[in-house]
Amino acid sequence: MLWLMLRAIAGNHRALFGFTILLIYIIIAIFAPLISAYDPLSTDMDHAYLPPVGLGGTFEHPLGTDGLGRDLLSRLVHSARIDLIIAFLAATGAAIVGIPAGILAGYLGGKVNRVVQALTDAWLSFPHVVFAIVLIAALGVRWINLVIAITVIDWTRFARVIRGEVFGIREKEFVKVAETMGLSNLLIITSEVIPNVLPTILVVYTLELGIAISVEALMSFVGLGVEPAIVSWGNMIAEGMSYIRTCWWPVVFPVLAIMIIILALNALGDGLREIVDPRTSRVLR
Amino acid sequence: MALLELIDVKKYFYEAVGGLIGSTKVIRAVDGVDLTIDRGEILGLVGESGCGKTTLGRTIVRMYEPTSGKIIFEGKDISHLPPKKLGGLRKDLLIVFQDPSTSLNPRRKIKDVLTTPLLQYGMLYDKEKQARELLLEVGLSPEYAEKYPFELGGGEQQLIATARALALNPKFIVLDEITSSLDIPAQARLLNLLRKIHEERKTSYLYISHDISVVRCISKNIAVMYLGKIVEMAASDELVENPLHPYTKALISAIPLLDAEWKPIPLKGEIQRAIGELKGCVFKERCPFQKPICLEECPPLKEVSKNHWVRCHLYL
Repeated sequence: MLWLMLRAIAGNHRALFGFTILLIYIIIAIFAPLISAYDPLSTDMDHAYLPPVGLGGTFEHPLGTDGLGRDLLSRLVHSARIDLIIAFLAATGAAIVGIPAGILAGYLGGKVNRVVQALTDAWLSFPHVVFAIVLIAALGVRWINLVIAITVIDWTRFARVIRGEVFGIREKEFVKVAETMGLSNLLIITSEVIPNVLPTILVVYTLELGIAISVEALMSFVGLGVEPAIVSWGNMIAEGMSYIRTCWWPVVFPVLAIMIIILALNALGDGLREIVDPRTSRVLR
Repeated sequence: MALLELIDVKKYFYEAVGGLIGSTKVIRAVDGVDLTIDRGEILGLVGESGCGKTTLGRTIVRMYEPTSGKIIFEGKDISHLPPKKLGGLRKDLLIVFQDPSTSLNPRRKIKDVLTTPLLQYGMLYDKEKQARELLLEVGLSPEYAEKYPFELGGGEQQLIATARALALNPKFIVLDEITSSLDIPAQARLLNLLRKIHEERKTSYLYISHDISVVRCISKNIAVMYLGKIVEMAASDELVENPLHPYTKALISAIPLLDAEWKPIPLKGEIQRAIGELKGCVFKERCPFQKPICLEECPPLKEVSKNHWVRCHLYL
């Protein structure tokens, strides 16, 4: 299954592009201390506002420095760590809550379905940003609380998509056969339903990673995300905004970093969707 | 002794008719069927598409609840038992569907497909070995265990679907058009397998098909269905050589023979849908021998000679 998936990704341009960039980001995050020459938190007021290479800067600080003389490349690279950790934890949390809810609602129908549908509808009717702000205000500004907030808000994304998918699978003949053979609900869900929603789960998960990264940026920007003592892309943008009129690069680089990874994750998600769809690909059927 | 007995089984579907004032139309898919299948008997059920034969098969295995009538399996009335409450009977009463490409889970290996039912009934002790044995039993290479269904041809897929049912060693299997989507050699292979299993285990089948020549070569008795009703029933050879009902005659004459003289009896029109109230004989509109009484009364199924039943005013 995993091997099939990787082979399918290699055969789809968009998926390959997204997957490669995601892999590069992960490698950068893992080896951040080796890549960056400076401590991302150490200030050096003698070298504040240095421009990047190409705009009068030197290779000592390839992307320049910020208002406190901190090396931007080091900060950017270290931010990838916390951002990817938040993204993977939050997407995993949302998946852990949302997938069982979606599968049970879709397969069992009836009361379970009504409860899940009522919850997802209630979640949908409430503005996500306001919800997140309320949650963080209650829990306190810490990165782990951001993970909790994203999980609490975005599990419905998994639940909704998977519920719909399972509604379709439930009507398939191979599920009917399993039912006439008297297989238990648990066995039907694990052996017949889950293998068929796995690709969809992968697509939603990929898109959720991108959403979590943009939520981190947004929440940190308004001061309700990652605590200021930890360097993250959102915090970099928030700090850089105060002097953007005199010095733009401390804001532009993290914005670019976020844009590229979200673009890549969306491409990967769309590519996976194409791979999974039997009309556009036969590889996984 | 009767293994399965159907007493006046009816299955109606209700279709909502649109419009400001909604109403429902009744579709009489199965309209009063009496059948008995003995232990170790193979009964063939033939009819055109739309005659209700698939609905009947699915009602027997309790995918549908009958609207009225009784289904008695092994002496137990299962007509209104929810499928989950069939308990031990569940694995003795199975169905194999027409299209193996949809009845096999596309994302699971053959060995998993074959052994999951065994897992449910605590009959699984060695997955790899049992999957190989099942494959050998139906005449496929044990190497297929590691393949996915889409890597196999239609005939092989249908052998897998059949093997999965046989794994539970059921007493009765509904075979719903299982050879219809296969080419001739694959049909022969599957029919031979079913015969072999029948001889070894005395498994009973209800063999549903539109192809009377396939049905004849496997079943002892044949029932012909039209618009939800059995119109004729007899031993296979008797029915094919001496058909009585005008519909059966037309059906048998329609078998393409390896013969330059072949001329089917033409039938007027198409099979109607069994919607709303039906008056008179089910076959009245297409029947070349229509009499006034045919429009008024539905004839009963009558035994005209030993074990040869027909539902027609010509023989009353």
